[in-house]
Amino acid sequence: MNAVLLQTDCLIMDFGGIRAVNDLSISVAPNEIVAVIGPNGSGKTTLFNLIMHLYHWTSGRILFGIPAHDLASVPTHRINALGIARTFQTIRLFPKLTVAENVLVGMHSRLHGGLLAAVIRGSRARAEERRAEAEARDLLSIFGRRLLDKYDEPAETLSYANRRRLEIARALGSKPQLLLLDEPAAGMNPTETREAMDDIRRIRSTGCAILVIEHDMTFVEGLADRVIAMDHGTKIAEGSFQHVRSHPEVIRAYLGSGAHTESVTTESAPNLEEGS
Amino acid sequence: MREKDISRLQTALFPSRRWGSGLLVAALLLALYAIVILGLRIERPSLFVLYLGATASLILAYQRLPVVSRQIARDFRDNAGLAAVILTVLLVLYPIVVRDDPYLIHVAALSAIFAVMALGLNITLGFAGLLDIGFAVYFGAGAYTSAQLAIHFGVGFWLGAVLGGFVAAAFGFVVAWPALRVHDHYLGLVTLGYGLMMNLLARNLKFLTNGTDGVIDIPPPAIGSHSFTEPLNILSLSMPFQTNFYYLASATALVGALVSYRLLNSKLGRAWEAIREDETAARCSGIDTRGLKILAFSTGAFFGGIGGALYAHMIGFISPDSFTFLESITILVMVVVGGAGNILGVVAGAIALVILPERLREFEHLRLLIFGLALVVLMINRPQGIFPRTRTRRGPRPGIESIPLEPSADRASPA
Repeated sequence: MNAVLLQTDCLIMDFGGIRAVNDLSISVAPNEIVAVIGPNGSGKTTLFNLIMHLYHWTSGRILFGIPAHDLASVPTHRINALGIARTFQTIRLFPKLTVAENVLVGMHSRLHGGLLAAVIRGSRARAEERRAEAEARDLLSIFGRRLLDKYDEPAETLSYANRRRLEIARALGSKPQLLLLDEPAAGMNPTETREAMDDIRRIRSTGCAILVIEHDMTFVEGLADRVIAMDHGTKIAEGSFQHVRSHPEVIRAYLGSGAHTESVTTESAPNLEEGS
Repeated sequence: MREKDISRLQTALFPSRRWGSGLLVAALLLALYAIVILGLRIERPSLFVLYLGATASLILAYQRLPVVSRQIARDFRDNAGLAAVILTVLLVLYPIVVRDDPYLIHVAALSAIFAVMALGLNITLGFAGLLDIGFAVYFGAGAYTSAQLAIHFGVGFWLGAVLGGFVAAAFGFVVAWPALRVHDHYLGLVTLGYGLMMNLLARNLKFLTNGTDGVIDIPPPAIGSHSFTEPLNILSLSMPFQTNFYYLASATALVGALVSYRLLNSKLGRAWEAIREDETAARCSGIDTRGLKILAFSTGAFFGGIGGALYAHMIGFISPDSFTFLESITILVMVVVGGAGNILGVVAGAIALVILPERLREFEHLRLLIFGLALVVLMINRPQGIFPRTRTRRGPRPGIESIPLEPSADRASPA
């Protein structure tokens, strides 16, 4: 049995009468890239919110780490310290903070010192700040000079693509073992998408596992080791991109139950083929 | 005028750029100082109104020229040390400049006390973005604690003020703990209610506060045998006794500003600002938002308590009427008008909001109306305050070696 970094067991999340996540069991191995696909409203982002413990699930288990910890009693900020970081579908930076400060906030759980250290600001606190700033610069340099040149600009002045990049840099600040990316290519043009794929490959090569939600199928095909398809909160297919793409349940989820699987080849399924 | 033109003008006026910006900073500080003292000195109401108009236009001009204000902010940052030295000298000299009028020294001391409190609320509201409309609670907590300890247990001012700060911080903790379930305006409402409630308690818990009669004869602070109600001799000058309080309050405000500055530029300050900007993203970035919000409330309250203790021992008398809803609003307005988040702006707001009502006394009933109108106009035209926090370009610092941080201790053993 291979090592497992993240595992959900029979996870269920109810919002009132709506079951957003239904009996979901998935796993992510260390250093693996797993893509989650599915129509809008199929529970992908809810899954991320559950992993970060922004909501408490109705039943089931989420285990993380080697050896595995049950996340049921771990609050969100400790989950980040344990080694999971995320980005958001709708970018959520700290707009008034500078690019550097955004990354430094991402490093929060790895920095020491509280109220007194801040007020006294001894040599150790100063040395740590210097090291942190140097590391923030290293993290920003993942994206070449794009973000480094904006080091001291407020995040709100960045272009859309740079905001997405900064969100990833901030997430990497906590040195995560697992990175959750929520539609990292949304709103990007084909060139930017290709660059994003390269960036993510480079991030994986540092030893980080990645769970990514994405609608862009070129992106998924090019990156993912494994694909999980969801619909109505349930896992409907799992496996290689080729396997999932031709799975009848997946085609039905995207095109509706009236579609005949024989007549729907991947060429006529625009959602699945977009950009390829 | 564009930025380039300004720097060209500057290089033309001053051969060396560094000298130029240093001189500019010095000149600006002196001019500001002169403007404030002029405002204090004008006796005739009609002249004072004229003065207010002129000052307002200056501020308006400053606001309309973002290039100039950014340049000024940059010059001040480049010459932060120089500015601090000049400011300190000007503050030390102030009582000597106006020594013929003890009232002006008293007003300045009061300004400094309110500056301490505004700096406190600035941590809660400006840094962490938590609306607190009950700040007078901490003012009162510090004042009563320090005063009653001094009267009944003979505790000296110095210890009493610190204890007052801690009691106030406890009051901050008590409201923050339950109140942080709500956000924004609802948090404002809860703290407003807390303020009203605590004021009622102060009126009715006679054994603690002596009710509406208040606490009288609060002993003044003393250093050795020198009581703060005796005249202060500087060199051969005999200064009015208010000078003692002025120096004490100003020094406290300076320390408060320094502490604020260091907090802001630390891991903690960044975390507070992150909470203000986006709480969910902050939590997902590993920030214990609940704990740090409570800490922001308590730290702000601590400042408020210190301010309250200073106030009690300077005035010598406190009653529930000193810590009403109006005081909470005044401190809130100091922060908002000055520019929430900007340390110097908040201090400027405190000074303006102590001096202005004092100077507008001639207008009696009209003064609150004028004041209110000015606030409405200001909030429509400049909701971020007169001196908002500007982030000027700092540029990557050279010569920083890249040393990886040790991994967090948290990671090994989760809670």
